[in-house]
Amino acid sequence: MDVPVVPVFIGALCPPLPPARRCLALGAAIRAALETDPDLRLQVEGGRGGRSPRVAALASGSFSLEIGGPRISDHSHTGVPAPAWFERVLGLLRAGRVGQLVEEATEQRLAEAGNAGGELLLWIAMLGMLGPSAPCLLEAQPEFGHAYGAWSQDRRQDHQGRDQPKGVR
Amino acid sequence: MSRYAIDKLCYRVTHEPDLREALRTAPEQALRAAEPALTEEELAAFLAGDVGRLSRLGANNFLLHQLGRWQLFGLDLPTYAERIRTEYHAERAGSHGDTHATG
Repeated sequence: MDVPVVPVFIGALCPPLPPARRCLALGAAIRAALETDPDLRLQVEGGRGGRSPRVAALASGSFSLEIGGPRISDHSHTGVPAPAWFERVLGLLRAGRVGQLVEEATEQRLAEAGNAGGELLLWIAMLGMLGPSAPCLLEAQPEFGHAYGAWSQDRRQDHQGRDQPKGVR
Repeated sequence: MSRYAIDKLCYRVTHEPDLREALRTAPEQALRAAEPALTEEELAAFLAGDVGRLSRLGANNFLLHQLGRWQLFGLDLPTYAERIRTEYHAERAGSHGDTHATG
C-alpha cells in the first residue's frame, strides 16, 4: 500500500490518562500540520489539478470496557461497567456534540467506565482532527461497549460545526 | 518495584514466545530467572495461577489476563475470569447490577 501512514499512540490503559481536551487539541494540531504542509496542499481551493489529497483518520477504542479486572461480567473475561455512559457517548457522537463530550469525559468518568474506558480518548483525538461534526454511520456494539463509526468531510466546503469546543479553532 | 516485576513479566509473556515456552516447560526456573526479580510470594502466586492474589498485589489486570490468554500456570480465560470474580466477590456484590453481560 503506497500510502503514507502516521501512527499516533495515546496511552489509555494506565493512569494517569491525558485529559480529553488535550487529546482533542492533539487531533486539531495534526489537522493544522496537514493543512499547512505545502506538499499536501489541503487548502480550500484544492491541490494539484484542482483535487485535494484525501486524508483518512482511523481510531480504535471502547467507551466502556473492563478487561480482566474486578468489573468483568459473570460470563466473560470482559465486561461493560458503565452502560449508561456508553449510551451517553453514542448520543453525543450522533449529535456531533464533541465539545460536550470532552467536558464530560473526565478522568474519573473514564476510570468508572472500566480499565479500558480511557480508549474514548482515541475517538476524541480523531474528532479533534475532523472538527465537530455528526457521523454518517454509527453502529453500536453494546455487548463490547464500543461502536463502529464513520465521518466524511469535504475540506472544500465549510464544515457544519454544531458545538465548537472551547479553545479549539 | 515488585508490582512492576509482575507487570513486566506479564508484558513479556505477550511479546516473547520463548519465554512462554520456558514458563510451560520449567515454570519455576523461568520465574526465578525473571528480571526484575519476583518475591517468593509473587512466585508462589504465579505457580499456583493465583491471579486473584496477583491482582490484589497491585498487578495491572489488563496485563495479568494475558496469563489466561496464553494458557499459562493452568489458566485459560474462563478460569482466569472465575478466579478474579471469586477474589473480588465482596466488591462485586456491593455493586450488583453495575456489570453487564458481554460476549
